[in-house]
Order: sequence, then C-alpha cells, then structure tokens
Amino acid sequence: MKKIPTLVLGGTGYVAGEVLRLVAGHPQLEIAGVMSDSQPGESVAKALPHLAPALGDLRFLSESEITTLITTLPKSAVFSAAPHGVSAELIDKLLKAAEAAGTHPRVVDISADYRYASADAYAAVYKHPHGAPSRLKDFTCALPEHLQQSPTPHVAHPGCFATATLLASVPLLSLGLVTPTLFVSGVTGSTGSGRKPVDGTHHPTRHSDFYAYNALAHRHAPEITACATAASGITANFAFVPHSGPFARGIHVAVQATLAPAYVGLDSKALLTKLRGFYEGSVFVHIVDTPPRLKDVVASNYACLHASTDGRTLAVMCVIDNLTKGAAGGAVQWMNRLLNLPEHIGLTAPAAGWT
Amino acid sequence: MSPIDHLAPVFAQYPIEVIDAEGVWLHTRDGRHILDLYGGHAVAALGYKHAGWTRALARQADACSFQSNAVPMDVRARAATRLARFAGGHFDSIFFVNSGAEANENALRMAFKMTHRSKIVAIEGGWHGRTAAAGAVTWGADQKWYEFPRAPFDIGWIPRRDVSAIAGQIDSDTAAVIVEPVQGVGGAFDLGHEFLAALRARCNETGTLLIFDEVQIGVGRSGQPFAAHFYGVMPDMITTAKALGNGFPCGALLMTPRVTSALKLEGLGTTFGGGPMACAAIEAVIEAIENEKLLENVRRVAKYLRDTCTVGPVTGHQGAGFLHGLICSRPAKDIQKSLLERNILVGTSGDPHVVRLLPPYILQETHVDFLREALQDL
Repeated sequence: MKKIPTLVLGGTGYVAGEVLRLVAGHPQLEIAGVMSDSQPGESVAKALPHLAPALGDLRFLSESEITTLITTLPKSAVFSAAPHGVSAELIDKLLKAAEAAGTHPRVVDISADYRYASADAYAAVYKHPHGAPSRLKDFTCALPEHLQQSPTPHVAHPGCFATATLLASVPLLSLGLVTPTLFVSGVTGSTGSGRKPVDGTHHPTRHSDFYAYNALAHRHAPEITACATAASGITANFAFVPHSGPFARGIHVAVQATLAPAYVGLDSKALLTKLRGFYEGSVFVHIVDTPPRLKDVVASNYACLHASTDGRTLAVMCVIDNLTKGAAGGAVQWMNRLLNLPEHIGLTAPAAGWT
Repeated sequence: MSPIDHLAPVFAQYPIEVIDAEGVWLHTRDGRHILDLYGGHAVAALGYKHAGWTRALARQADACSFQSNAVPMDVRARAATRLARFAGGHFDSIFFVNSGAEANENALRMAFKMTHRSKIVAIEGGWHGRTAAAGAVTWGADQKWYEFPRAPFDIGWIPRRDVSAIAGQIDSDTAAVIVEPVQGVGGAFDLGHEFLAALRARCNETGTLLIFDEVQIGVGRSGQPFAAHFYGVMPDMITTAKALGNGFPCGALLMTPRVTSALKLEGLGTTFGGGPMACAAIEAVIEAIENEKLLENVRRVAKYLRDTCTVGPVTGHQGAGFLHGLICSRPAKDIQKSLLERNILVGTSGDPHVVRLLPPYILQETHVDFLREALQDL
C-alpha cells in the first residue's frame, strides 16, 4: 500500500518536531511537506537537528506551496502545530482550497483553536476572536480513549495537561465513582512551555527548582471541564493547580476526589479493577500496581495510571509524555483512526527508560 | 349528552374566564385580576403581552406564515442555532416538533434505532405525555387513561431517588432511560444530583441512552438553561416544549453528536414542527431570557419564595427554580380553591399534598409577598 502524504504546519516548534519524529517511523505516513512561514526554503534538519537522519535535505515550505500540495494530493494527512490564534484561520484557508479543488485532506489540530464547541467559549478563554467560527462544526475535541469514532471529518487534540487530567478523571466521572469536585495537581516539563525561551521557563531559572503557577486560573481548565462533560456526561468542578517541573519532557498529574455515597468503603484493589475495566481495549493506557514514574512513559505514546483509596477519598496518578501522548502521539493516534488505519501503528515503541 | 359549546368534555374547568392578560396578571370577564402562578401548565414563560415575542410573531406572520422543512428558512436555522447555543455546546443538532409528547416519542425512537434493544426504563411518578410510546412510560397511565391494548415495548420502573434499584433495572437490553430531572406532574419532585449521576454512570456502563424529559423544567425554568446544567449531569438527548414557544405550540429534541451521527435522511419527520411561526416564537423566547436576564431573576425570586413562604398551611418546599412545590398540611385541591378565591391561580399535582407553582420567569418579590399574605390567611 502506498504511504499517505503528510503535511505538518507550524514546522519549527517542539510539537511539530515530535510529529515529524513519529511520522518518520510510521509505516503508512510519509512527510510530503513542512510549513514554516518564517523560514521557507530553510533546511528542516537545521531547525530540528535530532531529526536530520530521517529528513535528509527537506526544506520548509511557504503557505502557498502547502496550498498547492493540499489541492493536488487527492488524499493527505494534515497536522497543525501552528500557534493558537493562527491555526484556525490557516486550516480554514487550506480546507477551503481543498474543497474547491475536490481533494480530501484529514486534519488533526494540535493547537487550541478547535477545542471549543463555540467561538464564544474560545474567545472567553483566549481573549481574542476565533479565526474561523464557521469551521468549528467540522472538528470534535476528545481523547481517542474517550470517543470511539469522531462524528466530524477532523479532530482537535486536547492539550497536554488536559490529556493527563482527562485520562485520570473521565473514568471516575463516567463510572460515577466520585462526587463531582476534582482536585488536580499537575507538574509539566519545560518542553510544555514551547520553544521560545521566556524568563520563567529559562533553564537556569527552572533547573533544580519547582513551583506552581496560575493556581485555579489556568486557561486549560474550561477545556478540561468541557471534554470531561462530553466524555462522561457529568459536569465536574476541576480545581487545577499546575506546576513547572525541573525536567524537559513529561507530565505527572494527581487527581483527588471524594467517593460517591454508593462507593464509600471501596478498596484500592476494586478501584484498580474498575479502571482496568474502563480502559480495556485501550492500547496506550496501562493501569499499574504502583505509582508510575515519568521515565515509564517519556518519549512514548503510553500513559500509566495508578489509583488508591482509603474508602472515603481516592487519588489517581497519571503520567504521560507531554509532547507525545499529550500532543503529537495522540494526534497521530487520531489520524490513524481518521484514515481507517489500525489505531496503534507507528506508535507502539516503548518509553526510553533513561533520559 | 352533547356539550353546549361542542368542546369534548374531558377537562374539568376553573370557575374563571380569562379575556385578557398582561405580565403575570390574568383579567377575567367579571373584572377580577388574578396573579398567574401556573402559566398555563408551565407555558407562559415570558408572561403575557411580551412586546418582543408579539412583535416576532407578527413580523413572521406578515413575512411568511408557513413552509415545510423541505424548504430552507433562515428563521428555522436561527432558532436551532440559538437553542443549541443556549444549551451550551453539548448538543449539536435539534429536531423541532409540535409538543413535548412528540419530542419524547422521537427520542425513544432514536434510542431503539441506535441500540437495537427492546426495553425502556422510566421512573415511578414520571409523566411523559399522552401518545402511545410516551404514555407507555408515564407512571400510572395504564390504570387511568392509556387504553391501548399493550405497550409498544418492554418497560422497567425505578422508584424515585432509589440509587440501589438502578443496576437491577438498567441492563444491556435497555435502549434508554427516560427521566424528568424534576418531576412536574409528580409534584415538583426534584430527583437530585446523586440519583441522576448514578443513572448517567449506569447508562455509560451499559451503553444505554439517557433522555432528560425537560418539557416542564427546561428552557430556563430551573434558573439554568436546562436542568442538565442545574445538576451538572448531561444526557444524550433532551426533550422540551412548554416554555419554548411561550404559548405558540412547539417542541424540540436536542441531540448530542453521538445521536446526531445516527440520523439519516427521512429517519424523522413532521409537517408543522419547525414551522416559521414556531421558530420565530422560539427565537424570541430565548432572546428575552438572555437579554432580560431572566435566569438570574428565576434564581433570585425562587430563593425568595423558598425563604419566605413557609407560612399558613405550607410546611416545606421542593422542586427547582420556578417548578416549585409547596408541601402542605392540608389537601392541595382545597388550597388551590381558596387561593383562587383570593385571586391567585396555582396548580395541583400527582401528590395530593403538593401545590405546584409554574410562574412566568418575570415574577418579582412583590408577587411572592402577595402569595404569602394569602397563604397566611388560609
């Protein structure tokens, strides 16, 4: 079978780099073009040197070159890792061009632009108008573990903190195990802050340090609430405190909640059985018997979850790689499904173990 | 014996004749002014002579009074978009119908179509309408008025708020659970977050669809857009009617993307549903609720009602927002009669000791004071 040509937007960032790394090892996808409007014509390997062996002399393309590709390739896989506020309009322009040309690209947007059901909800969080409100109806935002089949042709992948929080929380809400207030403490690696260095995330500041930020006011909290409601049918209150961790890759999330009256007295073994039942058939979610570590998952598409309860409250710990399962890997997983490929292909390599 | 006025003799009649109305007041032929705390079975959400609603209907009647669903009309698309936005993004498509019963009939049809199962689970005390399927899941209908020789599907019943009975009734052969989050005819009886969340969890587990019948409590009556928001429990489908048109007959079925994706051309149908007059009314109702901040008003005045009206025969309160039950020490029928003599119209319910209030959303504290003074007198 001929490989499916793949286009990546927002080409110089960490997430785009991770998409390129995964596509390079994917049996059914191949890179057809990487867009960077700031550096068209420049070598991709120069911007992402760790990918040089896989990319050869691939050059960044301009928006018009990408448009030419999307309108001539009968079928293509498009990943957008463009910044939020840019992605929506760019995708909309490309899809309009494809519709006019009669080609059939499938898009997974890893930016925040298509994660909200309405332009109003987006504007309330990001404080600027949505770039293409009429396109929102073509996107569904969900984790592949929580939605069997996308009802829309394109998908928006939830953010990295949202991915870890939802993996831990949705089973609790969906199975009715807890009362609907969840206390979430999350720690992210420095790659979560993106490629552009800023004071608070610069290495000398961050190394050997640990601190919280935007407690109970993180911009991804409304997105987590909406995705959890869509997946479980329960609207929960997420009290979210994010932290910056002194490592490059990975997210560790701990979710605590009060057991629902019907489950008071539940023991940890029964809780783990319930989680295993919920994620049965999910290739990338492992329920483990001891609290998981970042190094169990870093550089892989796997998530590890552990839970315990004292019969009154429970705690669920979840680790993922923020760039892989929390962004590029989850996006490839969705793309596999949108292209009717087996969900797991190109994604099953285990964690690096020592980083 | 033929009735003199040729109306089918199936309704007991109140001893008043309304000839005009304004705001929350009804004006009778014999010159009385009656405070309407019943809104014609929860219909008159905006009260009477609401300028925006009247203007919207007049304008639409003048432009085009009817075209079928086969003919695209902007007013229909606007009403659907507005209602979906009002419901907050969880529901992505809307099927307009004529009544609450018809909305329920179609919700049940979708559940059977999607699951290929044979059973519906309903809640004791629930009321879903007079049609064949809706009547079959209405508690007690078979004893009183159902009349059809058999129900069209298997039915299981769960006692109200009985979390322990849920797992036994809802199983892998259950297509849907249909429930009023706050039972209307059942006595403004609030089923509570714990019970509704447990229904949601069991439906998730068994692949059963959850239908909220929000024909009475929906479209703002709880003080939230729908009771689903009030409780933070989202069903797969919401049915609604009553307040939706403020008196112009209409209903709606709200569907999540999962249900929407199971729809196919001609799978559902209606002639009058989604008519331009109904859609103009729906648009005007939601616009008024939003622009006049009526959800806030419902929440504030409902709290005032609860805080100040435990007087006279009233011993307690139940329900949510403006689907309010006054729990009384004397028969509700007697209290209804006495209040009407004091120029206040209220309703009764399936519970003989609960007086049911379904006032327009524009009700103010002064009207509640008028009710309290009358109750103190009883």
